[in-house]
Amino acid sequence: MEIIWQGIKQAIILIFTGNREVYEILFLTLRVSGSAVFFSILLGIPVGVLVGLNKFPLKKFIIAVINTGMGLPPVAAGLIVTLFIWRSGMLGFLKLMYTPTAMVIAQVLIASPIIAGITLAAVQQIDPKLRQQVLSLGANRFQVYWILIREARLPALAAVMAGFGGIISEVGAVIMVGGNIKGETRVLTTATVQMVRMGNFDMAIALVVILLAITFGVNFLLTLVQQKEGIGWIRRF
Amino acid sequence: MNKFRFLNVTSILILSTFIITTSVFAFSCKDKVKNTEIILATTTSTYDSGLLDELIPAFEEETTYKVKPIAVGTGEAIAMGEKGEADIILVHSRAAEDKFVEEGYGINRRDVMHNDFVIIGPEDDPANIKGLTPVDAYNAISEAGALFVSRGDDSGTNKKEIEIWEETGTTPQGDWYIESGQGMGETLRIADEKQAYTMTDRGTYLALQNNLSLIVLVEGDEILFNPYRVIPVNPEKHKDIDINYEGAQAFVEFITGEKGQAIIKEFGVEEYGHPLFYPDVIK
Amino acid sequence: MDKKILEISDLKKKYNSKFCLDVNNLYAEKGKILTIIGPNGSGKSTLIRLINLLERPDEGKIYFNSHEITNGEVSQTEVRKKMAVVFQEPLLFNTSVYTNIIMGLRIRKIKLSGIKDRIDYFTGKLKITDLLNRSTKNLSGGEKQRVSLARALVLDPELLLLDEPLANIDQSSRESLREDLFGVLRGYGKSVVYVTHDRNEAMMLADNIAVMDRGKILQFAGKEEIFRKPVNEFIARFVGVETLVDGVILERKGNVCKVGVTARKSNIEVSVVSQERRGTRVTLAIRPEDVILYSTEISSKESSAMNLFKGKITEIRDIGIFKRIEIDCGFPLSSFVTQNSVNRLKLALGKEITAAVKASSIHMFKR
Repeated sequence: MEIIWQGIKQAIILIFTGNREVYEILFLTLRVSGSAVFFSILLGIPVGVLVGLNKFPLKKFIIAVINTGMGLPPVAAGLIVTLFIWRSGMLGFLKLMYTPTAMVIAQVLIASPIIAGITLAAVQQIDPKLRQQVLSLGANRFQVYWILIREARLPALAAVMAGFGGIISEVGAVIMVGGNIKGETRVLTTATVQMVRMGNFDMAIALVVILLAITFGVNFLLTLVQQKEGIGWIRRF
Repeated sequence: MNKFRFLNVTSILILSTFIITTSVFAFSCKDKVKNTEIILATTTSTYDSGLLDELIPAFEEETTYKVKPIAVGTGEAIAMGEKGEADIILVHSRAAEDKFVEEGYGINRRDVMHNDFVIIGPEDDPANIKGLTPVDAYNAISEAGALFVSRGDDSGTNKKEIEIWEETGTTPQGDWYIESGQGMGETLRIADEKQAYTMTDRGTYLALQNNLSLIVLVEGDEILFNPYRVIPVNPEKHKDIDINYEGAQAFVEFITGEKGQAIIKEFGVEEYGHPLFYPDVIK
Repeated sequence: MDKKILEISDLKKKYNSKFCLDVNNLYAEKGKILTIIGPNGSGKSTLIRLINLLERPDEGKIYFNSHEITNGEVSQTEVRKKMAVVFQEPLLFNTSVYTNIIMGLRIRKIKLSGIKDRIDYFTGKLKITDLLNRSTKNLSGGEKQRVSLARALVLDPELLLLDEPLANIDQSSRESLREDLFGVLRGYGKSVVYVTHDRNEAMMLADNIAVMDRGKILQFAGKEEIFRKPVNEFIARFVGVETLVDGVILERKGNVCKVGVTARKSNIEVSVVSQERRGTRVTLAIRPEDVILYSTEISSKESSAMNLFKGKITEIRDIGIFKRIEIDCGFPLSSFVTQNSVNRLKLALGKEITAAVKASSIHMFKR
């Protein structure tokens, strides 16, 4: 017990005295996971809406692919990205391995199916007659999508938060493609692993406290949205 | 109608993928122009001890290179070198290194530093190994069936451990023999939790000593000598990959040079009273 | 300028496993209200969706302002922008009432500044001015449909399509909504297609009526003609004819036919104003409100145009304002009378009575 209290005390000191390393790690984490969520939204929401609202051949197959992606083990995402971007891989010439960009790509691979899947389910829950109503008001294709996304805005918001929560607390993929390089690709989760390995428990606890605060905040918002809208069916990550 | 819709969906999918890719590229531009990056695959012992956190900034300050240290076991470090995924490796396993160099993957191997392995265990020493030779100690542990934690990860430490087991003529197996599959730091903590024996490099042990109750029981034998070497990856072996051989050479010059060796010599003295590694070039 | 804003020719569309919509000829006149009436499942809603290009016909053409809109050359969106639809369900967006009302305007990029008066007028007429800032989630069914109607009306469409807007509203709010909506539509002066299964609504509102069943237009005519001269039994029953009896034309003098009706005891002759040929097998349709009851015997000598049927009262049923009297005069005959008449004529079960129906009030169609 002693070590935990000691650790938490130290952690609070580290956080509030503005320890440079802690904040570097925090900002990198937010930058990486923030960009990953941004790109996942760009990819996931349009895919979710298009697949959810259109009929086309192989639709069921694509939905199954997205659902599989929602449950994609992060290390699998990490390995897939590694195989593509390491030097001998197809995209090796881009020299992305062990960069924040690589981490962003891996996280997009993890988060975008989550966002696409929840968005898809959300737009499928919208009454198909409402879509006819939108069309009959004179909407073109993009206005239809836009209005229906707005109708599904709260589940979509929940999707985004679920995606963010999923990637910020993930360690396997980012350590694989990022390499956990100090000051460069070391994020909250990989730093925690490293600090524990190095016996630096104060730092490890400080990082975990920050990580917990972030994931709690995200989940708290998610719960608020779910409670408000009765969309508890959205899987939490 | 439906056919057209599908086309439209596909085109939008492709478009979004394109947007993503270009954005990611834009994001990565900064990393791309830097042609000065050196990937250093190294063992967890050098990384977890914190030595590289001292060496690399000093090297980067002197040169225009940027070192990316990737902490893996010796086995994986050598594999990365063979695949051309690293520019230089810093490892400690003679036999594997020899093979790596003989097959032409590595050139210009240089000694850097050494420390030694120690066999540690609980203070009450249930297998009574204190003061024995490593081979005798392993025999005693095996006979007593006392808990022993192995790295089991093909790292340099693991290779050394297996080498000693081979000397004993027995193959360690049974409930008492635990393979952690993890780095040195975790393995030490597991051994500590289980009050088990394990073998570790002295550097990592010293770095984590404050959090451990295990004590050094066997040390000083010749077989426990633990030399670290750097081996640049041979660019000739990977013509299609842009191996940064010049960078690797620069790092070799640095780490075996005056400044690098001095850093190794000083590292840990302040904190632990004596160095964690002993430089081999300039002593 | 063509009077027709909408014209449909030879339109075919399979709309469920059983039925196929098959509309040979139907049109809506500019500034008039066309009511499409028919039972549930008759294809009315499918027709509305076809007109709004929400579905594509299997065959046939639809013209809007004399331009064909079903050939795929015109933009569907542009056509829809000239119409507005109100569906059976309100189908509102999860936002405020006001945002819902201006949603169509926004989609059509119509500037709000120029049409503030129009918005005020329709929200006022539909009594939702007080609801504008409310969320649509907590509105009653009737209120929601008012919002949906306002959303369509503020668009000032060339053609307004109303697909049973009152059908899903509970009884209590339906009456007041009908009053308010019809109030708007009467002074509206725009082209409207109003779909309903309620003949009273059709009667109150329509200029022209099309009766549909099982995907087909059974009769398409002016309101009076449909009600006075249904072309078959289905329409006759649908527009409220209670008495339908079969007979054969025995002879014709001028424009009055003598029709022989096979009754239970003896044959009865009925005079009907018609030009049909002798020997034609026909069905006679008599509306209950055209049957006048007398307690005493009266002679028919003053007019051969007056049919007199004697019989016993077999049933007296309360149907609201009127009493429905069922008389057995060889064939069953229904009459609507007021409570006042029941008292005056001392009507009671089993009482012998004379029923009079004008020859010109009886409608006849071929069997």
